[in-house]
Amino acid sequence: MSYVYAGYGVTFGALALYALRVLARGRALRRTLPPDER
Amino acid sequence: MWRDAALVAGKDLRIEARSRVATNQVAPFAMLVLVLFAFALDPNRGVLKQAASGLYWVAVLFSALLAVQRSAAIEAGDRDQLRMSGLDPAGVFLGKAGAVAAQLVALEVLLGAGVVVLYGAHIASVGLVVAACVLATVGLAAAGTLYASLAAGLKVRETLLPLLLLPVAAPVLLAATEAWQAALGGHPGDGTQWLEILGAFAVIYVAFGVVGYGALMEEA
Amino acid sequence: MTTPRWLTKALGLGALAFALAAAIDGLWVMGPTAEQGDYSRLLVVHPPVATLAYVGFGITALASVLYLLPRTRRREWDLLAGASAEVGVVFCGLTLVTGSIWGRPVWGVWWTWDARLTAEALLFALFLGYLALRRVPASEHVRARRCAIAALIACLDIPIDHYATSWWQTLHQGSSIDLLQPDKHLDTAHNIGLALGFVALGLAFAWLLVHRYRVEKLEARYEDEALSLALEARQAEGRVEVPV
Repeated sequence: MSYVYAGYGVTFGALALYALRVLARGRALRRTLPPDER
Repeated sequence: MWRDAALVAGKDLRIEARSRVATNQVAPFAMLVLVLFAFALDPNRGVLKQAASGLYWVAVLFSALLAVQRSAAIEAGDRDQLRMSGLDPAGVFLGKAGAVAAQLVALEVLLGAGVVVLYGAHIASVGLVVAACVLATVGLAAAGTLYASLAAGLKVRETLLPLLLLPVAAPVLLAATEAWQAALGGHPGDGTQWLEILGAFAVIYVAFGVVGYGALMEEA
Repeated sequence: MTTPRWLTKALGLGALAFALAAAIDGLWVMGPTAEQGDYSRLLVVHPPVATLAYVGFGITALASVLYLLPRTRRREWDLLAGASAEVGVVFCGLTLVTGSIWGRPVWGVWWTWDARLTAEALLFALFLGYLALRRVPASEHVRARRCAIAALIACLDIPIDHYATSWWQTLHQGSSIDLLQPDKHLDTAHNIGLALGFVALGLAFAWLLVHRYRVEKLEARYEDEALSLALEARQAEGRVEVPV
């Protein structure tokens, strides 16, 4: 069963991490652009 | 289109004849790869003979990379020249790919001799071997010329081109190895399905090149 | 081409909800199968991510075509192609990892040259090449066009990959256990699990794509404005506020 947990964990974990990364990137970019462009 | 192709191919081959890059650099490199494989694998237990087909095609693939890089480097000076010359882009594509193919064929013959002599491979079915080589060469030359144009003018071309081309060329490697395996093993009947794949690959990429090369050449 | 905020929020929440449902179903509610025991629970994650990797690539290819055709050419298609490629490569990587994790207990090895896994590995390499090409600096249109063509060439390769690898496999493998083969006749519980997995991961894919596309748009705008923004910043530094 440990393999199964690993499989689920890796899948949802990796996607969660990627999601956070995308959101963070978006936030950082929006900060650098002038307010009217946000 | 064909006239332009012949013109471009002639130009590329003449440059090669004068600079002798393929003969002085790529060919020795190819043979060196064969020798290195012998160092990497046990030369005494017949492993080389068994793996001859695959090792041959890996060597061909690496040589193809160099040949294609060289073909792109020739234009590196000014890409505008080709564009403004008014030559039919499809013709330019066929010409460049043709020149690469010609050099590859010569390299394949050389490597073939190398594999027979160095690895003790025995070619039972010459027809299948030749057919596989011809089809694979056309496919590799076409795909290579396309990708070389994609990566052209970029400073990272040398590292980017292999990353782009090798995954695309993987099925050629696979099919050609299997075809050769059948030829070396003396059961050529098994080889025909692989020729289909090689043929399909060649047709698809030549067609794409003829149609799409113009778009690639258009850019600044 | 902006996705309304309520829709993205819905996608995100839906993805989370279904992910929870899928996990609960897969890990507890669903029972083991006769052929693979507990390992068939990985049905809930592996086939969906594998399919979505192809969906990602498909979107990239489609967007590339739309960009190349003069009648439909818009920068948005190029941005979509790039975004979909990155999300796709994540799912592709997950396919390889989950495939490997599933294979280890079932086959005893971490990797096997199974036709599907091999084709997936090649897809991964194709994705990586495309993403590398995207990062190479060039003028907007030049880069977009190059990438679009690269995506299409790679796309042509995929069916060839599949035929080649599957013929290769039938030739070399004596009796390979297709991960999904024993489960060809799934009972309802497993079908539900599979469906939940598809919905959860599909929604996650959509949500990620929307956000990644937005980031791509922001980056494009940033690139466009980078010079003027930098100049403005320099000028602002020079301006000194004199208290009155």
